[in-house]
Amino acid sequence: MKTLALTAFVLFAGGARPAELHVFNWADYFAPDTVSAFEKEFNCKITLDYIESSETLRAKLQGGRSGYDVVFPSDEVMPGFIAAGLLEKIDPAKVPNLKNLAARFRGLPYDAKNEYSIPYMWGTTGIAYNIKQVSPPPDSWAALWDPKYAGRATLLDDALEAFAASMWLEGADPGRPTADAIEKAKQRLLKARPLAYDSSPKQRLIKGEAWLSQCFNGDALQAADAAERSADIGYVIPKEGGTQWIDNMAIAKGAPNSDLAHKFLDYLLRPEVSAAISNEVFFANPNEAAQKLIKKEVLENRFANPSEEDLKRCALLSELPTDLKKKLDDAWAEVKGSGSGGISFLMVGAVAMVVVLVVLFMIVKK
Amino acid sequence: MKARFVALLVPPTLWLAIFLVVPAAIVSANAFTAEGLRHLASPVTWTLFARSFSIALVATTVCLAASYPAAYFIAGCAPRWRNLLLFLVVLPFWTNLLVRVYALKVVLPEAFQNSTGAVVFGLVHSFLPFMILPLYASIEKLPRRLLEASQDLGASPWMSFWKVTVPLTAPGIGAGCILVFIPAFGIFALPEFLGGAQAWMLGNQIELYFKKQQGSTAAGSALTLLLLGCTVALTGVYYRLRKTEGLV
Amino acid sequence: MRKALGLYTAVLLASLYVPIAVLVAFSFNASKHGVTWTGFTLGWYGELARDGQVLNELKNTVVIAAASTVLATVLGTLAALAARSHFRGKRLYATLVSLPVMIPDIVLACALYAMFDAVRMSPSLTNAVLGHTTFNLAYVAVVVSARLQGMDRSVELAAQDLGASPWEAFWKVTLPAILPGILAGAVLAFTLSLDDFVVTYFTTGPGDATLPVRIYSMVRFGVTPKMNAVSTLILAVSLALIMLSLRISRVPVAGGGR
Repeated sequence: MKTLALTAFVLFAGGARPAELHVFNWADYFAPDTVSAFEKEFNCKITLDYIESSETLRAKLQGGRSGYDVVFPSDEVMPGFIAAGLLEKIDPAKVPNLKNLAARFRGLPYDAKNEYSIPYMWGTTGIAYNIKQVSPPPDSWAALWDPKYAGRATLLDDALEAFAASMWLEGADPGRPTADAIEKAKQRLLKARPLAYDSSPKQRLIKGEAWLSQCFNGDALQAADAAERSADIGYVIPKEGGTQWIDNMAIAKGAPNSDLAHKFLDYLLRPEVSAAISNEVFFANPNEAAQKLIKKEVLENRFANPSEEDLKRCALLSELPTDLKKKLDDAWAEVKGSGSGGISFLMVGAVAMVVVLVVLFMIVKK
Repeated sequence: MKARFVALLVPPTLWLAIFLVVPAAIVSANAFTAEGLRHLASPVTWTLFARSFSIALVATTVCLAASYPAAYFIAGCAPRWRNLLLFLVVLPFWTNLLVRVYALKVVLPEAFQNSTGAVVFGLVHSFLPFMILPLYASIEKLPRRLLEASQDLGASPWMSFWKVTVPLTAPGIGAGCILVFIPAFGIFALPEFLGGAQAWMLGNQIELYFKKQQGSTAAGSALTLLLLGCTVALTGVYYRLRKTEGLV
Repeated sequence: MRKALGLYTAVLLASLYVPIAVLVAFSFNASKHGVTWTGFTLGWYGELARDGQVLNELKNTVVIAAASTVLATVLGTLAALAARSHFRGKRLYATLVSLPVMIPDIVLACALYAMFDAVRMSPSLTNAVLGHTTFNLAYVAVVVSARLQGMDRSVELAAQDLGASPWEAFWKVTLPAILPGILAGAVLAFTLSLDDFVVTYFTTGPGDATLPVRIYSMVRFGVTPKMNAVSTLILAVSLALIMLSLRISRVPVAGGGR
């Protein structure tokens, strides 16, 4: 019996069972061979799950036993994640390729010492527009409020971003909002008549349902590509300003294989790996060493790589402190709940009510 | 004998106590806090309530009008046809609502989408089986002789319809309306798909509070309680107006 | 007049099926954006088969449906049987059992969410099973109750007169008679579970998603033709179950019933 158990143990543990790495990333965020090449080189197996939203990611990480090793949080949730202890510290000694990071992506406000995160890809939020229908091309967030395009504009279904658009118009800085700015921005948003609040307006832009969309640059680019007449969708960072967002790689608290996780981070920082990803997903890349390996068409693409002056106008959004967050949540609920179908329907509803009562009366009266 | 009865009664009652009554109590507890009460009293909530009520009411009325002729026709068919037609009516009910709504989204012209009208249309379309079945059941039971008698007495077909048929099928009308109104009142995926920014209903707001905003449990509970209270009240009124045996 | 009504009914029925037909057709459409037909393909189904996440969701869907159906069938049948007797508070009991059917599903879903949150049970498949059982219980109870009402109780009493104990009478007479009802209720519960979105959405978290939840997030985050394939598959499964349910309800039963 003992020998049997021992043999089983030896076979089981000593056998060539490859190590496992659990990665939780956004969809379509790797090059076709990124994962498989790593698996081959390090003799391991990667299981890849897709993040649907930052809320999803937060929910998964809470409890500290998510089962994930490497995760990809975006910049605005980082302070909250760090404070809640959802991430593990990264050991810089195990990630020598950190040196490849461009200087301006180190020590960012949301993780001053790069202890918990390494920038992965970055981009902007601006306005994607239908070139044929929107003439002259928009240069201001006010275009989304323009009555000429009423019912043809969409805003992102995200409180921070939608309010940012409104705040830019109020002359406030969405990176550092105040209660007053939120209130003013809310009043402006209540006057908006968007087609929809949509965080993925690609389809609507392609189909021509929406002519102006508050949009992530990556989505705008994919829409322009897919429209098969790629000149039709343009993208602009409005003159008042836009958002810069940065997606990061990080290690989840309680990661089953912290060592391998560090190796994966290091691997992703290799210039050729990083460049391959940028070439595939067309997002801008914080990796200095990778820049020379990135295709010219990506580097020169105005969607993916904004000009310096454009970038100067961009702000990093971050999650708000509790009291302001409450104010924003309430304001957002009010904006969402206002809708424009209310008034006419109240009237129709009243008429229907009258009809119902009359019929009931007739029935009861017999 | 008694023991056997208790053995039958206890398990389901216990289950429902834990998974229906207790949750309802917790929702109430969350709702009757300062935060919850603030949301219950807020104009945003009441606008949503009015909009949801109106949309559900209009949808129910249109559904009734659309279903009655069809139910009437089916009731007048030969039994073989009747069964086939009823089967065809009920079949979509057994399929996934989201799939059906998505199918509508694919088929509806773009100009009609993202509007309150589209939501009402979607509701009517999705709940037709719920309305047709009870109407059919009621109409089918009508003694034909009553209609003949009415016409013998000089009433026009139209008058016979309104003074005889409709009142006698009132139970079916009532059942159908309740079966359509209540789910329509609390629906959220359908308005999200078809309504764009316009038709934001109570259900959408509840989803926002519970799923998208941390720390809004009190607000979500308040709205849920409002929805529950309204539903129970309506159901109560409905049951007052008719009698039931067993559980059906 | 009847002709007009007949035409109207035909149009109405057609309108119920046209969107679904279009959806199914588009699942074979080679075009990525589904606006024009560019050719027949099984490619989207192929993609589905290779999509690990979808397969996981399929597994979750079936697991939740199966587990909750078993529980609900037992509890629902007990509930219906208990409702045969007359007792104080029967009205209240009847209301309680039919409540899950009468309230909008979002109310049940959110109440459960609030409770699980309060007792620190994080979203999981288990929560979903508990939630599904609750509403399935009500549907099974209603179906079995209807069957019980149509049943002739005198056969059961006769069996007891002939010397059978109440238990024996139950097992040998009542149960076989209501078995078709129980099975029909079970199939109904299973189908409702498979198609459920709202309760599942509020009781599960990421990774525990089911197919309907997946459809919801797919429509919200950008539609791909793969969705049409998923939807068609779900429809096909529902249809198969309906056919099964019809077969079952036609099963002849020996002793009691009709």
